Amino acid sequence: MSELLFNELPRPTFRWLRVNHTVGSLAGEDTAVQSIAVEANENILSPLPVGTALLEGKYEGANKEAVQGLVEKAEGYAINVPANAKEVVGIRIDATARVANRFQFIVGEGAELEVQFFVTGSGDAVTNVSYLNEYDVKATGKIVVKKVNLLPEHVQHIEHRYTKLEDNADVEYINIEIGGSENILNYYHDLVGKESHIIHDIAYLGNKEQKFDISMIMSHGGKKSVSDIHNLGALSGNAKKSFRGTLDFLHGATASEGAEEDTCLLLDPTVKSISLPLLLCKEDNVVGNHAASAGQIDHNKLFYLMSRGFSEVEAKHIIVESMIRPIIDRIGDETIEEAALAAVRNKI
Amino acid sequence: MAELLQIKDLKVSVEDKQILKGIDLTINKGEIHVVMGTNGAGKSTLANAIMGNSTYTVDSGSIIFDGKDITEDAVNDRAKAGIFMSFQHPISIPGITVENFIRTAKSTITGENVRALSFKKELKEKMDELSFDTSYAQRYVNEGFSGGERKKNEILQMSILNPKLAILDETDSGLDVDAVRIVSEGVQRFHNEENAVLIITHHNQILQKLNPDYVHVLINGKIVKTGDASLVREIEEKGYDAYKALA
Amino acid sequence: MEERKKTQVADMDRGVYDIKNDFEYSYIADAGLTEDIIREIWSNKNEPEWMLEFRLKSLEIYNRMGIPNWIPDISGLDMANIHTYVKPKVDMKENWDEVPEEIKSTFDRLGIPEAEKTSLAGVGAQYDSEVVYHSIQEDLVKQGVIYTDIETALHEHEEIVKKYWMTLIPPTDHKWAALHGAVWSGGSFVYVPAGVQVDIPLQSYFRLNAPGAGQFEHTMIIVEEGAKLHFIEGCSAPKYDVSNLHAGAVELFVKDNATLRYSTIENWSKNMYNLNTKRCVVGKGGTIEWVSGSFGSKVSCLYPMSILNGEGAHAEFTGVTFAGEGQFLDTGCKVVHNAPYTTSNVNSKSISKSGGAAIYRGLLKIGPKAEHSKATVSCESLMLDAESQSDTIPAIIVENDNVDLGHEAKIGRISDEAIFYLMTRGISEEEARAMLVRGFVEPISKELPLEYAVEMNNLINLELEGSIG
Repeated sequence: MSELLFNELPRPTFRWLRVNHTVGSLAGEDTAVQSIAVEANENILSPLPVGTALLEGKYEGANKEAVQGLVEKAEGYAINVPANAKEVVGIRIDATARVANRFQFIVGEGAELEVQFFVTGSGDAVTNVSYLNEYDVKATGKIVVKKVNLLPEHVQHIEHRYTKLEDNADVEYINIEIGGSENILNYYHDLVGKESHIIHDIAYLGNKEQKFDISMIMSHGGKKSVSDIHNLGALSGNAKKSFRGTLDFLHGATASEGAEEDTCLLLDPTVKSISLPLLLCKEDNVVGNHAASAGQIDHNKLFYLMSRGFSEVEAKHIIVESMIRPIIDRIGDETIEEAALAAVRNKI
Repeated sequence: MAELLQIKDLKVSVEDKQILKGIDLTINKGEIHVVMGTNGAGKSTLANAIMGNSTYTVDSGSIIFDGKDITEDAVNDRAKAGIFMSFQHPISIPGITVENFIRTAKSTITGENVRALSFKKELKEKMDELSFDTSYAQRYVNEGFSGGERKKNEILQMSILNPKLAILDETDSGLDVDAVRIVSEGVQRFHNEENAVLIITHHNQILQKLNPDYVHVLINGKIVKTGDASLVREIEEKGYDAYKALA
Repeated sequence: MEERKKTQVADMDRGVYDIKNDFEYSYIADAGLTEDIIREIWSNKNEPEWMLEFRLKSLEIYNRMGIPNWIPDISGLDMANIHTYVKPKVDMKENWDEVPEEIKSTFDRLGIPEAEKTSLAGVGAQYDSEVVYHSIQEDLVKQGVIYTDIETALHEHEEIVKKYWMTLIPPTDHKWAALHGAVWSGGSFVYVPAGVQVDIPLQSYFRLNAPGAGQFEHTMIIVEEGAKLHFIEGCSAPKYDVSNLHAGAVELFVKDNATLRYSTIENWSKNMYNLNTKRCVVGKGGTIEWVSGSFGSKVSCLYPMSILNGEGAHAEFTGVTFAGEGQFLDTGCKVVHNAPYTTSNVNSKSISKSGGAAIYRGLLKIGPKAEHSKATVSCESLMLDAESQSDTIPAIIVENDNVDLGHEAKIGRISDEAIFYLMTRGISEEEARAMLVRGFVEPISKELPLEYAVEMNNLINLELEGSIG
């Protein structure tokens, strides 16, 4: 197994911090099995043959070898939503052994697509789930992707996602990241279209030796493009989170706005939280904000709940759950919501 | 009476949408005018157009102030000529103290170096008149000010800059009874035979203390009726609906 | 504020900094860097043997080390053309009248002796590689305060200097630290004994006059337990066609319950590569306050670092960076919390215009032992046009749970609304912009000594003049 560099920071900083990228290697066996179920209108679903070219050449910060490996070896699914159509797609990855896959979504002009993306598994196998999602959202197209990761605790989880937003495209991403041993999540959202709009919310919950290594780049090229990142979660045990979020305002992206927020609740002295919220700007007529915070549970909240008769542990559970709950509630699928909530309660 | 402001057939657009559709208005020295009207009728547009806000495009017509056509003049030149606007939503300016700000404005407008000591004295007097905590002189302009404090700050600036024409754009909105009283007393003190006041409002509270010479009803970008102070009561009784037919 | 501006702008222009002096030098090292040059510098300066060893070891490290991949482009800097040591033909004076006329007139023009008379307790002036003037108030001497050039300190207080020498910034730290270790010359040494409060600031002024020269001054300040000091550093250089290099090192030792404020206004000419390193270690209950203004140089890499090793130690950083045409200013600060109950506040503002690039690069690290620590970071960037660049690259690393940490950054331009508001009060557009920019940096300029705040405002006016079309 060779060493791979994941989630490279678009603008490196002090080397001794060792935060410019994450070193990883793929866990588990070499050959992948297909254990994916895709539910979709058959008119829009087709197989994506091995070797299909990437939608775009640039996957800045992604591990090129890992992405190329998927292009060359993995079969996948192509989902093509015609203009003005309205579709819902359900994808379930069941990881008992290694999974490698690709999904390519092309959402036509004025079309609407909702994707329910459920990543789960069973067993104790040390293995790896790796997939590449590409979304090409045409003018005035709209997508909502709700992803829930409830992988078993020995499974390494690598997601690469690329989004291209044309004029007035509207994208909403929700991630609930609870499972997996090491989660390497790499997102590159390319706001090429004018007045394109994207929200990406991530909720994570880590315990034991879990790692969440998240990289997200919002590349603002289009005028009046708007992006909003929320990354929030809680860590206990020896869990570690690295968040590399970049708002990149390119020359000409006038009147664009971007915001990123990274909030981490620290539940044990042994956790580790790294935050690299970059703001890159070559255009004066933009508004860019970022905020990062890390800390313990607010004493006043704890006090309030304990004054109502909850024990400290119960009160902490309530607070952590209440932080993640609003995001879980947006999933919209009762079975998955309940599974996610059960997983949350199980962990804290 | 000497003519101070004359607006002739003024048409003004915001982002390609015409808001003012031909306004004629003459204000003489010594007068108090009131423009009332529904939300979105164009009241604030009128104020901003007189002041020269570049967000508001003058499509046609002219604004004559003190005998001079100022329709094309820059905002600061209008201020120097003697026009003052009290903002509906005064912005905050971090890093610049109230005292510094007003003193800079005063020396720019008068073209004279305003002496620090006498200015401090004047500022304190005017702040006292407005029941404005004098420690605010050293605070950054409107930074952390409440709505009422911001409006007081506007009236403070008006009384120190002493313009020929003061435009009060919804200065009374969002204020409690006491604040409205303080503000209208401030306007009363300011007003004399040599200057004029244009009040833009959709309440009548501020008018109880000030006795307007003319009241204009603005509906859908046009002045549909002009009368004396009694028109205020008439509007109060009938509401604006009665005037919509005139538009 | 305004009236002041008017009177002062009239008699102020960049010209003061740009006047070059024809001056005779007693020794100029060959350009480039070899062991022979190092030996020459060493023997010229009559230093102890251990320093030669240190210099040679540093040279070896320098040759071995690569240039970091994250720093701005410094390809315009050719070490083979930099004179690492330029000695003015003068010995250090303690009486201003004895300083040679040409050097004196330079510092006169910069207003240094005037400031000494009015508001400083001690002054040092460095001209190229050597300190040419040093003075300190007598009552401070009586209390045991030492303020002298580092060469004198190396002879008179060798044990202290040797004990602390490049312990905070070891030559292995990075390539320019190694270079500094090899060719350092000049700089200030301050020692404040326990409990002594130095109420009036000490100031050192560094002037790089010779073309193609490097300045590698070393500043060492030790503030003993319970003592207090404010130190001011000013830097300037005239503009030549060839590149100059500044790779100084500032090592600050703040002991238990001591307080040090370190203020800098850096206005190097725009052909200067400013690769400077500043570091401070703070003991129990101690405080370091950095006030930093970066206006000059072609390229800057400067990130003053505070290492909070003692319980309850505190760091405060207030910085402003203004990058104009042709400038790439990569600045920021680093704070490392290593002990419980440590606190830090970082407040950084940057402005970029006319194609200049202002980068905030920071580090906030809260180590496993730093329980009950609190840290806040606020970065604001103002872009004055769309040709410029402004990036914020912070790293926040938290390694224990009992912390309270907040980081905020904003980027944007002067709002049209604000300009309109000021113009309705009679202020011209140009002046409105200048006022808003000054207002933007006001929280920082108010932390500066008055003459520096005035200088900063003048520099801003200078930068803004003619920039509004």
